[in-house]
Amino acid sequence: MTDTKRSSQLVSAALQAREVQLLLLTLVVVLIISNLTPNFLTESNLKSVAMGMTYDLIVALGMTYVLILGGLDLSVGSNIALTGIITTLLMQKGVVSVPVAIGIGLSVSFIIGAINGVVIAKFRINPFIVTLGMMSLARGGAMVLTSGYFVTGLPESFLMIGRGEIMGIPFPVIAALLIVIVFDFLLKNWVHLNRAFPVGADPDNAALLGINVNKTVVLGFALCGLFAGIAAIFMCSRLAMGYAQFGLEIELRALGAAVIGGATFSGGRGSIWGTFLGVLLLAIINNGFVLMDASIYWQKVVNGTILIIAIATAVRHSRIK
Amino acid sequence: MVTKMVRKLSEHTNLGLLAVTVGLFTVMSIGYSHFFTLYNMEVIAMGFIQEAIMALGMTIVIISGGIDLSIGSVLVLSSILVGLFLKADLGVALSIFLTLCISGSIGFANAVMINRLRAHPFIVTLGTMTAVRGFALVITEGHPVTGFPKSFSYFGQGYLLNIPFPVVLFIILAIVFHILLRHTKYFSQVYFIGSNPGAARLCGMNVERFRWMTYIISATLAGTAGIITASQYISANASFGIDAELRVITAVIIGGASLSGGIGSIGRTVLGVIFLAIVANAMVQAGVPTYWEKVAYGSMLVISVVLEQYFRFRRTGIKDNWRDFMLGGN
Repeated sequence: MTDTKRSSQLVSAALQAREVQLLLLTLVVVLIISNLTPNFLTESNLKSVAMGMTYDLIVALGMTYVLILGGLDLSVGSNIALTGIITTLLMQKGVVSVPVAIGIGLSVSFIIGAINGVVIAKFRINPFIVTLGMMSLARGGAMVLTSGYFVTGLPESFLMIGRGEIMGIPFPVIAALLIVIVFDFLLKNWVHLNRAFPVGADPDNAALLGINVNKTVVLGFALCGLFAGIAAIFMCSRLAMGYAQFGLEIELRALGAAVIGGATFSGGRGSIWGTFLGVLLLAIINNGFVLMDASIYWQKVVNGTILIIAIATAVRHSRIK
Repeated sequence: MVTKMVRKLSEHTNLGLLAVTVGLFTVMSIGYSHFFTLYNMEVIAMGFIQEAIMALGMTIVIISGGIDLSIGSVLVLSSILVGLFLKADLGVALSIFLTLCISGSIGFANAVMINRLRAHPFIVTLGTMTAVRGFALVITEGHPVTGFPKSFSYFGQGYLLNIPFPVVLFIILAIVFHILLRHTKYFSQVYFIGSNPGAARLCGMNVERFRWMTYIISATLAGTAGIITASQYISANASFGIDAELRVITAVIIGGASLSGGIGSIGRTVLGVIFLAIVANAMVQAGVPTYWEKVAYGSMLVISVVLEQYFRFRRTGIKDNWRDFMLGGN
């Protein structure tokens, strides 16, 4: 008797968790889409869904982290474009070897994020306006560098990063999953990352507790930039080029996914696995639209609507708590 | 005497920016013979007219402590809708009226969501920005809308007393909003509400109702800009107004409004608009590749905010609390 009571309590507690709710919702969406179109549950389609969500997933991790800090980063998409252009240009011209080019590219992405963080923390300016400016600046920089042309003719060894497969699974997918697992573990257990929670929940209080809020914010934004840089390397390698229009609107999808996954704009809350499920859900819905031959333009409407719905549910969630 | 005049002037406008604007204007006039001509003055004015009209609404929204990112998308939707209405033979007046009503209702929806969800206006209007532009793409399927009646072209191309009609409209709107903000009791609440919404609520002001008004004005002005764009190009295209919100916000902030609310004026915004219009024209005259435009706007936005914060800190010696500038509040 008590056993059944306890297990029912456990079940209801599990159902309260954002991750479990999301998982069930995703399963329902999968069931609906696979009933509507036979093409969904095929190996090649699932592979393309997994590959397509990889970039969003990596970017969304960094976005989740700055959301936990109580900020947001609109410049991730432009960061992808600029980092990709710089990395591919270096390799195309043969100035440096492939690993060095990647290293420089990742440093650029880290520095872009760090500049965001420094301006935000040093001058106490709303992250929104700073990253909006950086979004325009970095995208403009990518266009200035290439005059809008593709950067192609990249070395074969670089292309292998995005195209290699291990047991039929594309390498970027495996790398993204590994990053999720490691980042989730570090966020929960490593003091330096875990600080984001008290800082986001109440920064002034965190400062009183002796946490260096400035440093946490700067490093948080730099980390977010670095994640965008990693996504850029995979994207350029997979598509075999650098292009100034890469990563357009990825910030919207990343924000939507992170908020669906339980992050809030008021900071102090967010979950890596929640974000993972949010990205998965968005990817499956968008894939469903493509498979069902719906106009590609509906995707924009759906992405915007999902963002608003996610905010609405996030607000209800926090009110109940 | 002179200091008194300067002080009086600085109440109405941003002196530093005024000096920079006059300096840029002088340099351009001396350096480029085509710059200071009547024709180029018209090009400058018309090149930035959509942003100028939308900046008036954005000023009110920003003073009240909000922000509206959806204006570029409302501009597109309105230019497409007015085209579709005109093609459906609804007549010019009715088409414009319906378009403005629909634009205004998007602003209303923004305000209601901000009020009900208690979410930051950045996020809510970011959502409507995507959804509305997506909707504009859906109804046109990416094709331009063409075939407008001739009489409609007056709004974008006509002249009134030898001045382009949109410029006349902008001047009238600027004067009207200036008077409303400075000299009417209802609208001047915006400064109090923007600097301290909590206290305003305690004083019995209906902050939520006031927010409806600010966002409806902003969206209706974006709708007006959309109609003018459609009339200028005699077509409507889902790629109109991309990044318009960035240019508009930059103009308002450079003019001297504060994103934390409570500070700003129509006069300052008009100066910010004139400055950006001259910069845009100067870059073309000097043969700077168009790709630099995005870099220029992005860096001007960040630099102006940084300078504003720096001088405020120098003046008051007080740094903001973290809570005040991160997205938390509301």
